[in-house]
Amino acid sequence: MTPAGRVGDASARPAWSGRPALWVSLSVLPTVAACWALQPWLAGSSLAVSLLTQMAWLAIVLLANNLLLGQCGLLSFGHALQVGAGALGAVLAMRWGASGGSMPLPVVPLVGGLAALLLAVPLGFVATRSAGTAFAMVTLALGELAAGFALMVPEWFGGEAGITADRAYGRWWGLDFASPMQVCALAVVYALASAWCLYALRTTGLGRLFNAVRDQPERAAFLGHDPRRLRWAAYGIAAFFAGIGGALGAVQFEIVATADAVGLARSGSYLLFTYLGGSAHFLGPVLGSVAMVLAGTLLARWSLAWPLYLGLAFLLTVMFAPRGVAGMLAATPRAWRTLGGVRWLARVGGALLGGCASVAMIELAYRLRGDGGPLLLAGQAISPSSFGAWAGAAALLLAGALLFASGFRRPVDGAGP
Amino acid sequence: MTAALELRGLCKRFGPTSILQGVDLTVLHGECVAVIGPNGAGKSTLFDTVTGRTRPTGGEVLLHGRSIAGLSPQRIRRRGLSRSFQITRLFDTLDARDHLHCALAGTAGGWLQWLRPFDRVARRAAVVSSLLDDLGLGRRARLPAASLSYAEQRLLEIAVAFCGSPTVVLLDEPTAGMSQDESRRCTALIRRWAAGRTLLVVEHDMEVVFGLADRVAVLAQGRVLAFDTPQAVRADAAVQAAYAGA
Repeated sequence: MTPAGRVGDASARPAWSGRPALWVSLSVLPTVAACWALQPWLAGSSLAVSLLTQMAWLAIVLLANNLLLGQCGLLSFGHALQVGAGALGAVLAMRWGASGGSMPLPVVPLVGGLAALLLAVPLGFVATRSAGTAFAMVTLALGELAAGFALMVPEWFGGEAGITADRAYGRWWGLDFASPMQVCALAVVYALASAWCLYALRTTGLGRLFNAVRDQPERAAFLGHDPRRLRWAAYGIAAFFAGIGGALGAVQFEIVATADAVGLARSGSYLLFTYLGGSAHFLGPVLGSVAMVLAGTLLARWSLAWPLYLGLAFLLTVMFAPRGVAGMLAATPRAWRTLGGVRWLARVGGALLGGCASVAMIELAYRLRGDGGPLLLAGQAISPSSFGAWAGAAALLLAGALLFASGFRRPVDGAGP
Repeated sequence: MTAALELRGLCKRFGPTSILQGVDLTVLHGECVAVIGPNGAGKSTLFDTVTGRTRPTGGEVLLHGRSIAGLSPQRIRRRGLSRSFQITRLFDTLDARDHLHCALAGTAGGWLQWLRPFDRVARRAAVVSSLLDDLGLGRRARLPAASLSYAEQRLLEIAVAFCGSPTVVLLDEPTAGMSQDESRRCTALIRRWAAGRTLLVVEHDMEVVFGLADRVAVLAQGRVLAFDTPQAVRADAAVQAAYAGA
């Protein structure tokens, strides 16, 4: 047999039977281990459970968004439309279940997914005629149209107040889903299953064709593939999973404010955090969902200036790390090798130090206006108008900048690589 | 003998500019026809119009006697007409193996095959590995296409056009930019892959033209000026005038 043939045989190993399982478990094991270790603390903290639940269903939403953005190169400004459709479907399903219908709660997310898919089939047909700017604009228009429509017909969509539902309307397999812990478990199970499906999809022929249509739609057409139909398929699959995610959100919060849930602001933040997490890596959106939840809850509690930090983080990502957090993490071992440990540490340390100093200055400046009270650092109140506070922050910034710059200097004795 | 591809009075206008002004051309089954002509003669437009990239403004394109004018590229490809591009168009992030699978899957099999990884579709394995042997990429068949050398990319571009048993293949300057050795190897591969198929080739390299073509069509100012054996065309006074005038 020829060498080429042998290479072929080796690579014909079941590439997808082992690897997605490996990857997903790699991502999940730390999470599960952390939950286990923090169990005593978690049990008493409803906030932690709530955050974990949100991360789980947002991970599905962002992974679905990345099927469009990363795999198909489709920039959708209307992803929230499908998420909202799933949430609305779930709320209606729960209400129907509560009024005597046969609707086990563990199945409700699937109903949400199907609702979103049903909506996406006609909308996708309109949106996927072309890729690029046209696709972005059409999805934007569809999302805004839906948001406007939801406000116009409050009888169906609940208007500004939204529609509520009660998730604890029965008992299935010994679970009543009254406690947030059980909802969290449901969300995590769905997140794992969805992540596995979406990872498996990447390795299939269809996943490759999605990439092909992203790279060269015209060439794909000249090979006999209809680019539009492939984009349409991707749109539908993404909608299904986005709907599952949205439905889990509705199960958690027991409410959907449709106009808000399908609007541009929500679509924009899904897009932003998918990008921030890293659209070139499968697990990037999962990191994005963690960042999204932390930014929306913890960061918002901690600082009034949180939208500013979010904007800066996005700006810096676009400018300096277009492959997102996942891309930075993936590049770390290589950077460590090529730069050498000392220079790498100097750069990272300098960036962190400078970042801390910038945060301190932003917080001080924010408080100069008299908002938010004194800055608390290690239990000590620091006055925003004191010279010492500003001098300290400035010194820290300078030190960070110097440390960062030293990471770029060539080693004097040529000991580096 | 019946015609594999027949063009009848094919016209293409872009606004006021007329690029093709009634092209008549009949390519027989199993024949290799080279299309030559000075720059701006309309060779690339001819290919684009025949393969569905642009719609003809007039005239007929018949593939095995059935009209394909105005159909989408994917439907024309599924009817058996395939093409390669003058400027390589590959899927940058996909490797050579995936390219061949993509090309083979375009014309055969339904949706179900797409839910399996490409490498797991057993009935394509033999074709793919023999094509990979022809390309001689070895382990490089696993690299993204963007990181292959220029000549390797060109060869892959052409190989992809021959995948999925097309009956008629249009090659747009297959050996453009290749060294003489690479060009000879490429010509030999084209001759092998083209066995039993009908070929239409745009080419500037006369060595390639004479090595491949059974007949040569000379295109000038949107019309077929001469259509004959290579030797006869070389001797044609009108052709010499067209080239000299261009």
